[in-house]
Amino acid sequence: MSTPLAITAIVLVLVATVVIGFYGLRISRTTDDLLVASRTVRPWMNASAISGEYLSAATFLGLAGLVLLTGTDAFWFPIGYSAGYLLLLMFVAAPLRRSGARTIPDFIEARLASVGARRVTSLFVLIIGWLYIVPQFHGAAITVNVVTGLPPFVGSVAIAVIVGVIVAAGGMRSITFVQAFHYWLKLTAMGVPVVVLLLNVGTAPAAIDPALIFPLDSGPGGQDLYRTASLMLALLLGTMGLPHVLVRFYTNPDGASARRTTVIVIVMISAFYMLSSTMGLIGRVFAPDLADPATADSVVLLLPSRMLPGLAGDLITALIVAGAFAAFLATSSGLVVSLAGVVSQDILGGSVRAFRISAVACATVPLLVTFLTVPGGLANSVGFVFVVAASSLSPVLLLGVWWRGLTASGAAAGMITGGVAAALSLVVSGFGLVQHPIAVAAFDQPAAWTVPLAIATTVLVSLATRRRVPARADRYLSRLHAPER
Amino acid sequence: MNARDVPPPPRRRITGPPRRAQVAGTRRPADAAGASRDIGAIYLRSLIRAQLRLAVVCCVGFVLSLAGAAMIIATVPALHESYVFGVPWSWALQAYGMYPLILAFAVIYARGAGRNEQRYRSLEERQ
Repeated sequence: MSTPLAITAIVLVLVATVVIGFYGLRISRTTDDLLVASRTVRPWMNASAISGEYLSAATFLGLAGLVLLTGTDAFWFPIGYSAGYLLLLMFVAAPLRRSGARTIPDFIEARLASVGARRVTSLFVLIIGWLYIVPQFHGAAITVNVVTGLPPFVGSVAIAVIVGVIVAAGGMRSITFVQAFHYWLKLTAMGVPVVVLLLNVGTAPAAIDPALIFPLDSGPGGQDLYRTASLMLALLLGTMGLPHVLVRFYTNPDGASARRTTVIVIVMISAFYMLSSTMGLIGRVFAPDLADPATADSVVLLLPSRMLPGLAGDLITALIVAGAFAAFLATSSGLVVSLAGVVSQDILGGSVRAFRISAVACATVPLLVTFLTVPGGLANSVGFVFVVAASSLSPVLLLGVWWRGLTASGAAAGMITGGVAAALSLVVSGFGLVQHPIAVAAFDQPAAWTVPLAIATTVLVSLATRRRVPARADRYLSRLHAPER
Repeated sequence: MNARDVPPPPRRRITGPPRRAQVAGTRRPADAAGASRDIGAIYLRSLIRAQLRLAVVCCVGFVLSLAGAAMIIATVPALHESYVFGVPWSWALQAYGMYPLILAFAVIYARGAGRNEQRYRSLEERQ
């Protein structure tokens, strides 16, 4: 593999990102510009940016690795990521755009007239955001290590520094352009290699027997019903609870354009997932030896040079590396923007300077966590983030938009119960504290019981404190659902 | 006391919009406008109910068709025994087949929601 080419690709992506970021800086002046791009972004641009931000290390590297490792089970991840936008479209996209709030904690505080509920929400936004940034930094570490041989920390530090600087300097306005660019870069960086590799399928050496490459056990027939259903629940509901996803909807001019944007997003991310899935299928044919938890995430990076020796393979690899870095950059910068928004408003008073300080802090914390943890499978560690989001923020958002009886105590109780249950499950399954197969499955894929638990807690506590339903709940709900003139 | 003696309001430096989301206006409706406001509120409540019904119906429809498709892909043996471009049909359908379903429901919902809002707007104007 050619190291200079790969390094050139990484540097080009970083330079392009910085240039586009600073182009955006010239026109961002107020706090509103920094946080929500002054709400002037058109659906196509916004959809590119949302998709650019959403396609992370988990789908760029992790999906193909998981297809190689587990077979068709892996396809449920992108299906769930994509269908998560369908639920977001149906239940929260337009109402949240009309709420006038900039962040999830803003929405909860305005809806429930409670600073306490806001603080709990902010805490979960931070936890979910940081958990989600860590796999991105791990992905950068793996990529730099595999393609250049440099020590892994170089990749994660480079990403953290560049994200902190871009976000602190330009905020959301420049991030919109940067992320729209990143979507098209990622689509190209996955699409061109897939097409080139497919054209060369006939010439490369391969395992021949389809029954070995696509065994019955790893196919759709071998799926575990409970695990699949529970995973799907987490992915479907989790998307709307991700902090960096929701904040982008505030940049639409109105509710109807928020819906249009979401439909375009579904098209854009589905296109990418089909390419990424194809890469996984090609990997099963040409790189079955990488089917090991330690190496599976690198299959996308290693496949091209195996199938196309020489310059062609190196060029394709460099393109993939560029796309992978765009994935890490886009997702982590989007997360840092929304986390910095929350930290600066809740702790530091909400000025432009506070936002910049928060941005640097929000890139540093996950970097430290990255050093302290070992990379697990990228797709699975991102899957856990969805479980936490689906068990804490999503139920409260759903009820907040549709049920006038929600109270601050109910929201706080539901978020804490669901979040703690999800975290405990991670500990139990991570340390293997249970043996019974039913219990193992329940803690491995806990969404099937943590989500109903969170919803039930929220509803019951809200009913018990129903005298404290905010007086203006009706008026606020009207505002969420009445179309703009 | 001369009007000129009233001191101007203190100068405020504005660096951006208010810190937190504002809640919709707090004015009391004037008596004359009260009745039409009540009707407006009824229209709005029926809009909210219509949107929720649409969302729930689309969501249930989507989940059922996704589960149905997954069942068929998992259980029909012919899908695993026949190949398309060297890949079993069951694998190919699982990898690519669900996205059109998601998009179809997205388009159906978005159109329906737009129609509900259009109906609400025309009711409000007639008022």
